[in-house]
Amino acid sequence: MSSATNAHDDAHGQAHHKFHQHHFLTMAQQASSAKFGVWLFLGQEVLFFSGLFMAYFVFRALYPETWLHAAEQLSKTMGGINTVVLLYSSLTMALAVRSAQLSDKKGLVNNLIQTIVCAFIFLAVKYVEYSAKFEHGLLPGAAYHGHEFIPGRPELFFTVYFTMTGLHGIHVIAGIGVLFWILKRAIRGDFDSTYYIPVENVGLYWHLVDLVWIFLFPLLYLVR
Amino acid sequence: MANHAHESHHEPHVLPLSVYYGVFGALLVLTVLTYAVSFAGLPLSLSFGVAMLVASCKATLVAAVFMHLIWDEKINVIVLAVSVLAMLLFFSITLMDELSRGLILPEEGTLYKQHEEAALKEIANPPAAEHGGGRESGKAEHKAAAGAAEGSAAAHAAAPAAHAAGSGEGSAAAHAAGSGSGHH
Repeated sequence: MSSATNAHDDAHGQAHHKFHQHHFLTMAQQASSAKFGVWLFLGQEVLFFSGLFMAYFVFRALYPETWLHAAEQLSKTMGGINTVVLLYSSLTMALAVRSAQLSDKKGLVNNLIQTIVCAFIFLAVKYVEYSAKFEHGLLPGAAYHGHEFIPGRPELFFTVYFTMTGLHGIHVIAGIGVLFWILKRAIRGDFDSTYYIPVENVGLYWHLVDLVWIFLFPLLYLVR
Repeated sequence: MANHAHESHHEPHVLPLSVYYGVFGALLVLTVLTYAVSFAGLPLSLSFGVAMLVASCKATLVAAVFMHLIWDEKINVIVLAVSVLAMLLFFSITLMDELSRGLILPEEGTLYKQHEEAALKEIANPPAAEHGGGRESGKAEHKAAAGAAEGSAAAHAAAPAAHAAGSGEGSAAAHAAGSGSGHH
């Protein structure tokens, strides 16, 4: 099939690209369509998370005292470390896209690996945090059996905490999955300055995961 | 300019490394700032405002530079802007409901109820001094007042200033006042 279309030139008279899909006129159109699709998905992600943020604001408005005291049970330092880890992974992700733009395969692979390592560090810190909460009975809903007195409805705070950070964590895990896929393709040599839209799109997704955390960190950890 | 590059041969738009490191540095500084502010013991509403402002700055930096929105096709900016606007609409309307519930639920002994009762008293009592009338006219007045209460338009009109103050100062303040009065 590819040999049959190899001679086929696109509208700009360029030779057929290996990754050019037939239903797109040009590689540029293919790239901008793919990116537009990812942005639509990210728009949906914003709305999806907004429901959880809304729950946070409503419960916080109803039980301000609970929020003040329950948030003190979270480790600002661990949250801070994870914030820096995610910010650094966003930097390496952006640099990975830049390397792909420059057809720098070594830089691309290197930056992708750094991003993946950061994602694992994030999950490891999260694991330590979750274990501590489990140990102290700081659990959502009916499972809550914390010993320290927290006024109001502490189980609501931890419901919101586990739901929001849990869903964010699932996004991180999904991110690791697509990052590995991109890494495999990068090692295979699929990407160069003429074709790197998958790297860019995975990057956009990864930055959104970072964006969500940028708001989760102050809201959950830095109430006071 | 960007269009031209696009048409000839979609040359990738490569930013200098300094831009990436600069943005990362700014993000770190903002993170330290928001972390430090959380220990400063500011009033709660102020520290919440600062935290959200800093987070919004960080988000804007990431979206504009790391996500290349500044140099991207504007349609992608529109997609993000529309979803953020929809989110803010969702937040504001839901919070308007949530924070003003105390004002309008009569069984909670609320501001609205108080305004209504005050307005009723005003309608029922002061004219009595002027009229100084007999029992029959007093009865008639009472009836009229009850009718006005059912319509509740009069009650509204009688206390517009109080209502305006409540909504003007932000719903949080109104909410606080509402729940405060509930305890009396």
